[in-house]
Amino acid sequence: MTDFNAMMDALVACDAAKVTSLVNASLAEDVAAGDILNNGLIAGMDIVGERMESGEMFIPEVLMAAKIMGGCVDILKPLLGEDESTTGARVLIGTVKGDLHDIGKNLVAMMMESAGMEVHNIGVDIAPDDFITQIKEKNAQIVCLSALLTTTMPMMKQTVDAIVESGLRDQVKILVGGAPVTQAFAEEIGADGFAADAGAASKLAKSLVN
Amino acid sequence: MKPTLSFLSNKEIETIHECSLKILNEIGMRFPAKEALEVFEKAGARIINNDTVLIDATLVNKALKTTLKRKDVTLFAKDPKNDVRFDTHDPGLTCMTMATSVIDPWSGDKRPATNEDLERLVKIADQLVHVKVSGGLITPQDVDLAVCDWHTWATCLKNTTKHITGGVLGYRGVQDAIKMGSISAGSREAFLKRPFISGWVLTLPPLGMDTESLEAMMEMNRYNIPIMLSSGPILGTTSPVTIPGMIAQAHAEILACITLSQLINPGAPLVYTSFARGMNMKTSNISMAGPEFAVLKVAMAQMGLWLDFPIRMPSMLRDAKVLDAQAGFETGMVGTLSSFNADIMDAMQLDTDLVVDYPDLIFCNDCMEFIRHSLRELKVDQESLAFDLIKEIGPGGNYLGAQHTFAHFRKELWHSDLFDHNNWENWEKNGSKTIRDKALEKTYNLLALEYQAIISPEQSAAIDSVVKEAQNDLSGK
Repeated sequence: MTDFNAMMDALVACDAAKVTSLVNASLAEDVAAGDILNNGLIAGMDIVGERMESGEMFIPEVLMAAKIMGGCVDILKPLLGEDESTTGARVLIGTVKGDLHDIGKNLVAMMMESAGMEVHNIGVDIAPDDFITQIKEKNAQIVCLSALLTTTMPMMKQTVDAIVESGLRDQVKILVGGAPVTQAFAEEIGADGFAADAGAASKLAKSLVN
Repeated sequence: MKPTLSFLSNKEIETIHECSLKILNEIGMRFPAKEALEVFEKAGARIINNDTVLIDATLVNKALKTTLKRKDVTLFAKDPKNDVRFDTHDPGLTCMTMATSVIDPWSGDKRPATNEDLERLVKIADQLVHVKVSGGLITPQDVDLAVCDWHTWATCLKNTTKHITGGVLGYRGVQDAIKMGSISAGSREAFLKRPFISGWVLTLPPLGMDTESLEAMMEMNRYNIPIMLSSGPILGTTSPVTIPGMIAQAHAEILACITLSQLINPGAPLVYTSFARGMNMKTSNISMAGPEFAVLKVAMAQMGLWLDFPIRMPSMLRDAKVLDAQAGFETGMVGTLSSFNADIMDAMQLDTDLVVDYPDLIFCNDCMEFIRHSLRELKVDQESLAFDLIKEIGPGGNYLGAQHTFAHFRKELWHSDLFDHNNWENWEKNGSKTIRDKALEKTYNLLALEYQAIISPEQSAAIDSVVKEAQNDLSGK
């Protein structure tokens, strides 16, 4: 009898050895890989998310839990059906042209990855055209634009405008963030959302595609 | 290494100590109590002007030999897990005593403090990890003031399992505190084996002491109840205005009391303390939070540490009236500077030492954590240098997901849930609260807890009857 609660608890406790052995034990008992993924691992990560929001768990712990889950997904992958193994939303994230700051942007990328999204982190100083090329190439559903400098905020608007002109606007949700960025600015330039920190960005991205 | 702070070199400490010995030998100190004078005289000290004792260095040095050193002193607690020891420097807070007003936690108005306030405050202090020593933060004003100290001891003893420190006057004050403590401990024998109280001893600068404090001190010495021994002169008023002169005089007063204590009972425990402070020369108000107050706490602590005594210093008594920017800066500055040397620090009062604001307890506790984190020892070793990790992550990488970060961040980084470290949006989303707002919420939560009685109703009634008896004997006299 598989104890999903024990698996969830071990994941929340970031106990890699225990989670892995529980996953292997469940497989040995012929529990379906999809059940292990959904009822053990994803359910555990949901608790991790809640704990992060309530302030009990911190970013390095969330990332650790995600890493442990990733390791277990690798074990399960060959056993999952095609529709079961599809990953979460496809996200494109980068810092706009003229801005070389990437700490916050990378943090958002890591949090989104840990929430199960397929994140393409395309770097800093990204021109509007490059965003458009990448949206097409990666078939992105969410585009995240980052800027730390007030002087590069207008480039966020130019990037959004370019996406509109390219005809891809309906295909993607656009999120903006960075120290000087506000909700009002996001609305003003026609973005779909703004998040004040990495955890909120990840949560918002998830809610926009579901 | 562990960070240290000194305002006096060892040479300067010795010079000041020599000056203190000279003060005691040539000027002397007044000890207006018959027993004290007899004990001094018997030990060979010279008495002049009826009650002034000239103490020579031999007598002082002999006393210093029998005192308990840091590693031998324990401030016992009713619950042994709350015992306070001084083997290592591990700074924490102690309840300051004797404020007369509180800011009502519900109305926000300042009003006279009651015995009910004291009970609530002691219970809150019991929950705060950095409050190592409890005590009567306020003196209840709604009781017969002739026995307000008795009520304070009674209420503290009924509500905390931590060590309790407070004011005691006269032989009777000590005897009754022992009586009440013995009821709580179950027997006099059990209490005296681990007396979980200590009493304040304050000199009367310059170079004097009042009879009741003196008698209380000797009585505590006899029973090995630790004394919190303080000389607290006022710069330019009851001591020279220059700091070294004040230290020499205050240290002399403390040495004189130590000498007497060791004549009464060699090995009688003490904690070295000083309320040395300044005065505002425009208003004549005392300051317990200005820069000179902080300097005096550091320097006086150095004097005490040089003699290997446990150190207690008043440090979070703010001149500020409310928990504002002034209070914050005073807490940070005096609290931090004192924490370098002191073991326990009087805290949690505003308006110098007259007002208690409930949420300030939570605030001081969090400030203490902040300070402890600031003054921690940095260990330089393979694990903390993390060369292999730096190599693994490489230029342009990120350490956030590393096992090393996961393993160490909780210890390396301080996370407060009182101080705001959010961004503006989240701060606003959470109600745009000030630190006092948040501390007040936590206060309400602590007040709503169900507290288990720490003594039986019979013990509680027996303690009350000690207070009642004292009231019958002392009221109106």
